[in-house]
Amino acid sequence: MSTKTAKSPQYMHAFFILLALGIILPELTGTYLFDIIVQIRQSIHSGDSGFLILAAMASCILYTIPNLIFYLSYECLLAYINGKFAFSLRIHNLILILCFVLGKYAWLVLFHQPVELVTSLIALSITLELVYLTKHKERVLMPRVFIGFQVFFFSQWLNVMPLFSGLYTGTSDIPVSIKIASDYLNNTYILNSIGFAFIVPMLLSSIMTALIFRMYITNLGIMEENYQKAIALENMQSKIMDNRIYQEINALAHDLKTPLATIRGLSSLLALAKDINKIESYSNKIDEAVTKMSEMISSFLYGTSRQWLDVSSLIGYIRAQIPVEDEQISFTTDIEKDLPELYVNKIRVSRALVNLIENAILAPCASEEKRIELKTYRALNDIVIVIKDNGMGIAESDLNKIWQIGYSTNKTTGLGLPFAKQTIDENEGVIQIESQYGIGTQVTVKLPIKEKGEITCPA
Amino acid sequence: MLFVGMVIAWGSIYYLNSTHDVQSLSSTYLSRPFSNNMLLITSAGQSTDTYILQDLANELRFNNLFMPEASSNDLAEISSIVIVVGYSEIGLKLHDKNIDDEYERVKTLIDEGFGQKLPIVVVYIGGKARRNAETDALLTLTCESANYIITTNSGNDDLFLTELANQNETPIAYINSINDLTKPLAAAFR
Repeated sequence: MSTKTAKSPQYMHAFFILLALGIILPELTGTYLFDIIVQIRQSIHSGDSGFLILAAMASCILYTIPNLIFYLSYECLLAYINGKFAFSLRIHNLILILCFVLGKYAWLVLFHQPVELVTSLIALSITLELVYLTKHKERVLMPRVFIGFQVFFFSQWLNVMPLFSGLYTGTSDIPVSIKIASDYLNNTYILNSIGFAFIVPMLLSSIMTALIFRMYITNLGIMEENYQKAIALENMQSKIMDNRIYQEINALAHDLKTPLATIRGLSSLLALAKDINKIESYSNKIDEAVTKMSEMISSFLYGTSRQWLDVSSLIGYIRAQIPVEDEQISFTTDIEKDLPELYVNKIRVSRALVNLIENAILAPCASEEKRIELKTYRALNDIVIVIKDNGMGIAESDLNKIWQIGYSTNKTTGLGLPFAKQTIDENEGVIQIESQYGIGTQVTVKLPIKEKGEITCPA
Repeated sequence: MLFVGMVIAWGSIYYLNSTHDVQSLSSTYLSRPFSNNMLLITSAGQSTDTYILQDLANELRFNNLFMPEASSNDLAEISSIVIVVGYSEIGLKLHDKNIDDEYERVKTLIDEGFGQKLPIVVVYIGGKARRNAETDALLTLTCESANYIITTNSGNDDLFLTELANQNETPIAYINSINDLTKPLAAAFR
């Protein structure tokens, strides 16, 4: 329950400011007390209850201010002490009540100011109960100020209500004068009614304030918990992504073996070759293999890296990475003839398309044979690649979640689709998924056709 | 829990207090009224209760001179003195006085009135709430020389005023509420 706070010096400053305000308060409010006496006199002479109600209102305000200052100053003092020596809320409240009573006594003896101890203690106990209701673990002042002001204000009406005269409330000069005058003017019921009109709504309002602060602190706790969960999820996704990158590196290393084997074979031939034409041919091929390796590494390292790529080679490259050995899967490709070249990051785009095809392969299927169709054609200024399967499809409610990192319905990492979308976006393309649950899924990727003259800075 | 405890304690005190309320309606009536040629209405303690007396006197059409701070020099052409007792710290501050100054002023006024054989009527309508050491001192001072005492029952629940009246054999009238004040006042000055 007790909390050490770094703001402790501020509490001490606030205590001294409030204490100074409390000391000069009698000087500041003295004339207002005289005004109340004048209003009571006017009400007696004119028989007008309005003056008496104004006097009662002014009296309640003037009695609220020192009470609130006392209460808040002791709260600040205790918050400061609590920062040094932690103690429970129960001890806190007991010390607060003791300080409050002693402060009131000093207020009476040293400054000869009116002290309504019964009313003040009732108000203090209600305030402490409501502050407890807020469940604020830290000794923050905000709920205490809002609740304290309301409670101390409405409690002062007990002083001027003739109904409660027998309960040792309103025993100081001004409340007594107001009650005697109201008795003389036969309007005690008016003061009682107005008193209740303030007390009941303000009591409810102070309870509502306490509940609002309680809801706020509860929501804050939930938000904090969600934030911690989000951080944990992010860390987990980061680890999954690291693992994915490791897999990508493995794939790249595997892909690099082909040109390396070519270089190795050609270099062996080069050592044996004596014909200058063959040496030149081998050297050119070695140079091509090195260029290919360089492109592959660039594609992997830099997302902005682009290469001119024949669509059929891209599909062939993808097809080579997906050995469909399952006899129950029928994989067909349909590539339109004379398609223009694409200008994309070969490694990343092919990995994205491989991910999409892998998803189609992994998707559960109701029929005996799973059919996967890969279709490529031109539509205006785009090359369209369609991957269609007859799997179970995706439920409509899940369609808006499929791009979220980590979301998966078939126990995969949930990184494939987000990676594919990111890659297609980076390559200025568009990806769309249409699915009907129980019928199948169709993924459409559109990649823009570039003119070779448009490219100013080839990678 | 603290709040519930306080409410229970508070209610218990109220109940016990209410069971001890004694409604005393007995009054000692005057054999003949005092002169009402010119009443001096003054205060002992400067409470706002004095204004009630002034208002009632006007309502009863008594010739009166209302001087909350009347001194012995103000007794010329005065036929009776009505002193409304009730200590008010704010009232005294408003008149830039303290309780000692007030006590001295009232004492001088009473001595002068007594010397001039002016009837003195002491009125206390402050109830239980205004009873404190200062008010009691002023009541003791004024009742010693009073010819008639009027008090509310609530202000005399400890029979303090009854004892003062008995000590000095002063007639005393008890009223239940402030609005009952008209009757003893009318009886005193008509």
